[in-house]
Amino acid sequence: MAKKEMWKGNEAMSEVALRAGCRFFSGYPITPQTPITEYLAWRLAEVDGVFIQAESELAAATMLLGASIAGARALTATAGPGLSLMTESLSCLASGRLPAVIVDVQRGGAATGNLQGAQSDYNMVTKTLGHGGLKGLVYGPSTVEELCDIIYDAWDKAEKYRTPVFILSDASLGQMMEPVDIKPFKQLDESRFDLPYVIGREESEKKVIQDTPYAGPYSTMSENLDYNYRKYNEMYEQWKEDEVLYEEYMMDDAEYVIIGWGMAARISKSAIRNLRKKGIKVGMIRPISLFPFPEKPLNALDAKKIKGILVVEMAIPALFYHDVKAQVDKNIPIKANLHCGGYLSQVDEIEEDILKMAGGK
Amino acid sequence: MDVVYKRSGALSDVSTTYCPGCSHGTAFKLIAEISEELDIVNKLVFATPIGCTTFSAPFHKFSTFMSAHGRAPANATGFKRCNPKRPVIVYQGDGDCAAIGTGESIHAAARGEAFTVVMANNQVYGMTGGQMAPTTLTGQKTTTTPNGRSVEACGYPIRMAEQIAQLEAPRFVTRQSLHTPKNILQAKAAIKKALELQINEEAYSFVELLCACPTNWAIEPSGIKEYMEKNVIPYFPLGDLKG
Ligand SMILES: Cc1ncc(C[n+]2csc(CCOP(=O)(O)OP(=O)(O)O)c2C)c(N)n1
Ligand code: SF4
Ligand SMILES: [Mg+2]
Repeated sequence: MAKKEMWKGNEAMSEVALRAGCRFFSGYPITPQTPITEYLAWRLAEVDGVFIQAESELAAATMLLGASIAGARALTATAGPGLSLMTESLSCLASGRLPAVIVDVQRGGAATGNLQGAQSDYNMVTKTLGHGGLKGLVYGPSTVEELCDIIYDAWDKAEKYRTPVFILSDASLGQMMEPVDIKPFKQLDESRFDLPYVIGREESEKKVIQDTPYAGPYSTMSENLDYNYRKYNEMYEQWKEDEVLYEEYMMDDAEYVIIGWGMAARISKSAIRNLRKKGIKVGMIRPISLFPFPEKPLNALDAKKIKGILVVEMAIPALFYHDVKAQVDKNIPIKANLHCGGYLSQVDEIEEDILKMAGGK
Repeated sequence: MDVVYKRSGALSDVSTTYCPGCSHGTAFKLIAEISEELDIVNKLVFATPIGCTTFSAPFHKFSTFMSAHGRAPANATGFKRCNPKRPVIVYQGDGDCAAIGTGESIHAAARGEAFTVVMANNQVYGMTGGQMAPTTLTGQKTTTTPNGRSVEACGYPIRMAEQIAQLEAPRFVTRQSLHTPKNILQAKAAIKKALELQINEEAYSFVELLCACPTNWAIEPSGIKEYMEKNVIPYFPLGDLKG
């Protein structure tokens, strides 16, 4: 195994992206994403990549489309307010089936909000990428290492399915330092310039790249869109079989289950360890892929065995909580532990919530 | 017998769906002829806007990509930076270029991206049925200025070529018109020059074309020449602004 090095989340992610073949970054500075933009500004230059500080997130995300059509592995990163501006292009990427990777280093609150970590952008990217209701793969890592693992494979997935891949990081993950394996460089082969959505290098047969799939077996646009989006939906359904990622933590004998993702799940693990010392049988299911959502392990929670579920989430109103609630047995009591606006989940509060559930049995 | 004029081989057999008298078809014809003269039919990439030319891909033989409304210069920036060998024309309406896409237009020009912008200034939003554009003339009636565009409510029309010309990076900025055969030939020379500068010097250029939208101007195609000379050209003077 390669020797691990200490890296901050934002920089580690950027370096691993580059090693995964990313040669295009366009971004607009915003806390807590800025270190990604600053890192790639000098680092992409070293590998003959393209770095553009765009005039806005509208432009930054649009540039991904062009880079993708040119056959490049393209990345942008932002935080809340910038994500709002990027939604137009997210819709175009999903509808045009153009691969690209987008990282949201989430910060607290709506509007201008706050600079600390949060999970309030969850619905905005898991339910639909911009207008039109289409989807992309969405991941919510909880360690720097996992963030790196996900981005290392992100373009392979993006290109396999011709889809945008979305990574929900957050201010804490972006800024914390942890040991990571900075992976080897991937070699990309030239055949990528012949891919159907790529307009080739020097000259080519006519190619028509549209952000909307008007072409199809029918004579009207509406019939073709209906037909094509139906096919997209079949792919999204198939992702539930092939692309679900989650972690089960101390679940073997668990009577209480914490369900959380990303930073909230990571904080909950400390609470679980403390509770175990007190003899409480508590475990965790942690979705890593947020779309597709890990439905099966949640469906499998047995009301005869499980006495309570606590969803820990850094969003108010709750967002992820409702996805969990829809998948678990109605006979299992379920509660939410929520914070938002940059107020992180608290270990002692999580312990207290579980103890209350256990005491009330 | 010598062939003195023929339909450009860079146009397809599909006839355009533009209204009678519309200038978009003329502009396309010029771009097609130039691409043959420069032998770049299989190289040229045509970036379409949102507007009456959104669905223009069937009319020509170029590779093409579409963009969201106003965003074509940003999309083309990403493309051209990653694929510098393909000449790119970013074709935009005046609403696309000078209203919803002003930011992308100005900044692509300021960075001196190596592509050619052709902005079709027809003083209206053609595709959506004739609403006010950033270029609509003072007093001009549109569906959203039913009593004529007023300075009090809407300010003054934007001269986009002048905005672009005050930036450092653009190599060649010009305003031409498509209302007479002579002007059409001059416009053709301008687009050709812009493309040559792109191919030979990786230069950004901006060609504004004064266009007619007889449908939304509510005039007969036969009245275009007089309307242009009387109303449009006095506010949007023709000629090179830079280079
Ligand atoms: C974000 C967005 N807003 C509005 C529209 C609706 N829309 C389509 S074309 C158009 C106006 C186009 O006018 P112009 O750019 O002048 O092009 P023309 O049709 O006159 O050639 C508008 C407002 C859209 N497609 N997208
Ligand atoms: S509406 Fe105007 S711009 Fe559109 S095709 Fe008709 S004449 Fe041309
Ligand atoms: Mg117009």
